[in-house]
Amino acid sequence: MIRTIELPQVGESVTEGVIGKWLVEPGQRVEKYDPLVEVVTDKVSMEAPSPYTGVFVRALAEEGETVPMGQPICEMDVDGEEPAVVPAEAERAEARPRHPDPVVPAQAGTQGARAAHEAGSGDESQAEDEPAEDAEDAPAEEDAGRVGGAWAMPAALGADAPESGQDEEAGEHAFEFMDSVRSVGPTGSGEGGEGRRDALQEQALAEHEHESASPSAGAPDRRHVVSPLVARLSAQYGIDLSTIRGTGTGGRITSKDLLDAVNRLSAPAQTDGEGPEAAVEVAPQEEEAASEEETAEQPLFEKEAASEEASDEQVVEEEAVEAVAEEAEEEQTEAMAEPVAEAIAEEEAAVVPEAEAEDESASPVIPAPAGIQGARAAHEEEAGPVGDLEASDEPVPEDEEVSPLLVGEGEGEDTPAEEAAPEAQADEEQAPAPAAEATSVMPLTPVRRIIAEHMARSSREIPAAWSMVETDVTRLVRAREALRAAFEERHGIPLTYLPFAAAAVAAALREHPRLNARWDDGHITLNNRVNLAVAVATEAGLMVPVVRDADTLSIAAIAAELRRLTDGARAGTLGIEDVQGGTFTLNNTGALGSVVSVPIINHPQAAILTTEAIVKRPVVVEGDAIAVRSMMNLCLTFDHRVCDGAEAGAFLSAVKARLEVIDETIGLG
Amino acid sequence: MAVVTVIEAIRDAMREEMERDSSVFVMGEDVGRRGGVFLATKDLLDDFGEDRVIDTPLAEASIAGIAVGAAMSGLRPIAEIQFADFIWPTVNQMIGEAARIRYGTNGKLHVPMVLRSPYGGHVRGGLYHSQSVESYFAHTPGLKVVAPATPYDAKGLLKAAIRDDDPVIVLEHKRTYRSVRGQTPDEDYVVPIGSAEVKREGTDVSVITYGLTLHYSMQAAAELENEGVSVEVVDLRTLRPLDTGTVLASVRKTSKALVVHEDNGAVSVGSEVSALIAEHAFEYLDAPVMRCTGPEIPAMPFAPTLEAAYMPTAEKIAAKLRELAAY
Repeated sequence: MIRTIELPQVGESVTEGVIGKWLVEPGQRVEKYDPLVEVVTDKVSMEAPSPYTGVFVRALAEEGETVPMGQPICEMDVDGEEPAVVPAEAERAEARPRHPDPVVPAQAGTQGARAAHEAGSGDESQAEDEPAEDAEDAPAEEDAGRVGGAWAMPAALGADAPESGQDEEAGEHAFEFMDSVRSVGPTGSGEGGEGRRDALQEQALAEHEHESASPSAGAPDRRHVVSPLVARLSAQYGIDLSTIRGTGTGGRITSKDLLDAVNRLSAPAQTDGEGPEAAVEVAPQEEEAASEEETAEQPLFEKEAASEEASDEQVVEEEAVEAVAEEAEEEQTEAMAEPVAEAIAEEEAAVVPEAEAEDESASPVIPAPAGIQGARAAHEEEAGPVGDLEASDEPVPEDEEVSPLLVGEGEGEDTPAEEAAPEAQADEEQAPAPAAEATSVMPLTPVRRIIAEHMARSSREIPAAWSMVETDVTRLVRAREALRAAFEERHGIPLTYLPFAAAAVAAALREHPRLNARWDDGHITLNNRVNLAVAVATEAGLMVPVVRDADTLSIAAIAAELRRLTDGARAGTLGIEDVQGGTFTLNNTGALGSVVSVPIINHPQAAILTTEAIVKRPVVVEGDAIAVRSMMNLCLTFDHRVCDGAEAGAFLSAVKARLEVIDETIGLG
Repeated sequence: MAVVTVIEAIRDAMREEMERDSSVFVMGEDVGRRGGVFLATKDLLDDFGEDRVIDTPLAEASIAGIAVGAAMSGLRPIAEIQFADFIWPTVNQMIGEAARIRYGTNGKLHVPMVLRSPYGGHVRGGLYHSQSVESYFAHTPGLKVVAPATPYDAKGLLKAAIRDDDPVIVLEHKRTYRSVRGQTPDEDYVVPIGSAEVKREGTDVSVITYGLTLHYSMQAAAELENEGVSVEVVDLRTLRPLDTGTVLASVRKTSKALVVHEDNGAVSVGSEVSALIAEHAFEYLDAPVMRCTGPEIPAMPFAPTLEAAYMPTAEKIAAKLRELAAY
């Protein structure tokens, strides 16, 4: 019998080949596996072997012609078979309708495009490189060559086909898939390949379909399956699910069933006498609220109606919340609706009863079966946070929980509004407390008043700048450990870090007099003495006694003076001279555990420095090694009218340098 | 607007980027004289010379490793792995090194490289020329993975990948190379990494897919339209980072989701998409999230019948869609 032989698949991704030289002539005897024809693709050149033993009848494709994989290229009279009653060609033509491209409207375009492409692909390099415009020009002459060929491509081989592709695509840039799953498969190079493949393929498919379908077939009763969406909508609209007949698989109530029921409720006039399905019960609360004319249109928004009964105050509050929420909701709705605006608009126009469709904003009616979007939009526009106040048994979380993922697409922005709702609720629940009970008055002490005035004045008048350095005080810590016992024995007072810091600051101030100064109207006053004010916390408040001429004192002397001043401040026994004339303030905030402070300048001084807590930290030291070091931060606030950052930085560095070189050899005096 | 195939779009992208930026170069097996086994790099050797179009030994670990090093040194390599099936030797370089270098150096170093590779089956490729490898890489923080399915997306995403300062794996479905034609603009453009696209709008069911199965999904959607079911098709395009917003917006609109890909389903991109929907669109679901993926077998079979049985074809997708629509 006569059999057609198809162009075999010759490589991955290759969809077509160019017929090279025919290696056999009509009438020639051919053994199975003898080379029939040269096939050139953009990947390989090969000789296609004969799948049969028999007599070569004729070529169906000419040399130089581009042929898709799987297309017949020649006919052979195969040995040992009865002549076929139906010519192979007819068989093929008959079979074709069984394998239509599912994209029916694009069929002609698809095929045409392919043809045009092929036509333009006379040889390998052309196929690869020629822009499509050229391909469009080419077909005329190439097509002529194809007329004699017997492959049954549709007649519509318009060269302009590529442009007529799938206009309906949502994506911006049109594309087309040039092969169909069903028409591509193994090449016909095997005996009886095609028929057998179809049978097996269909069997596999049938099994698959059976498998797919089995869940619904095996579980016919799904009347009690409630999807999350249906659960949410039924709670939202107060619909009793037992009153709805489901139309989904196994009688499941679909979201559409529910929305249909909602719609019937919202348009009572239309539901009259509509049969059993119309007998959906309106939730009791809704009937209570049914007094206004709007009820007819919005029977489901009992929550809103109920809120009208609340006190005026509450209403005002709720309205405020609602206003905020609405703004946010609008954004959300907009963001979500945008890509489907058309679809929604169409659906609404088609299905929503006229009165309702007229005015979205005024009518809170749930758009009839406007699809899920419609219902959601209605929910979002109307129910809002006020609804949420009552729907405390809301079975599903609000979608705002998603917001972290969706920030940037407009959905996350409504979170504040939703958060406002619980707050409003909380406020309502708590009886407003009289002002006298909510707060109590603490009269000012003289010290508090002075501190307050001082701080406010400093803050008001001084353009303060701030800087910080880290200080490695590991050696200082060791030195103090080594020296403290002897010091205490000799001086009778403990050796703290503060005298070391005070001495370093005093010496640095001597080198950087701009920090030891003050702003006066029209000039800067430099202080020639270094009188170090040291902040001391007392029960009465902050006291700032002064260590006079600190730059001239030994560490031991400073320690003794600090001791005296601290004790005196706490005992309230300091004289006026002990707290006057400070030129710079030192505050050991580290004693409170602080590691960074932003101190306020002790007006009218020019700067204040804090010594922060000494903490062990991993630090990169010389040689890029990491070591555990005792670190202390020095924080400086300074009057930027008096000096600039450069001066302040130099001062900080000087203090740091002095502290970092202290070791056991230091003389405490 | 030129109309090109996917493979032509990919070649155009590389050529344009090489012309635009002299630090871009191509390397891989047979990419030079042969022009690549799929001819993705055809003629690039002649036009850009041996310094920028480098034929490598048959050693994928080295290809990836050299690319990582070159990228860290300031170049922008496009390394081709001839078939994704041969990508496994690169795993140490890509997952162990490239993905972690920015993180591990606290941002001092980064790896602006592209690893291109043809993947996927239904091309009679058998066990060693059909694999889907995306989930292994998409799992890894520090890597970006894109899988375009149309010429426009292929060109735009490859350009974006080349310009990206971090490693991007570009997976090109080899069956789309010559079977999908489409428009690409004449002017320069990129498709941002991390953006999905709704390729077909619909209202009843969402299909979330990528790669070759996008086209099968489009066919299925067209079929379902004749049956009165409106199917929306979302093309992920980028598998990591996922465009969660587009996916969730679509599912919230339709309330039903079918996730489709050729890769097998367990611990796959589809698993991630399903989890995303379950976590963040739960209350919008009117049916279970369903999947239509390759089966849980070790590889794409060679026998045509079995290969066809493996693939999520338009018929299988349509069957699932019908089930979901009726649910």
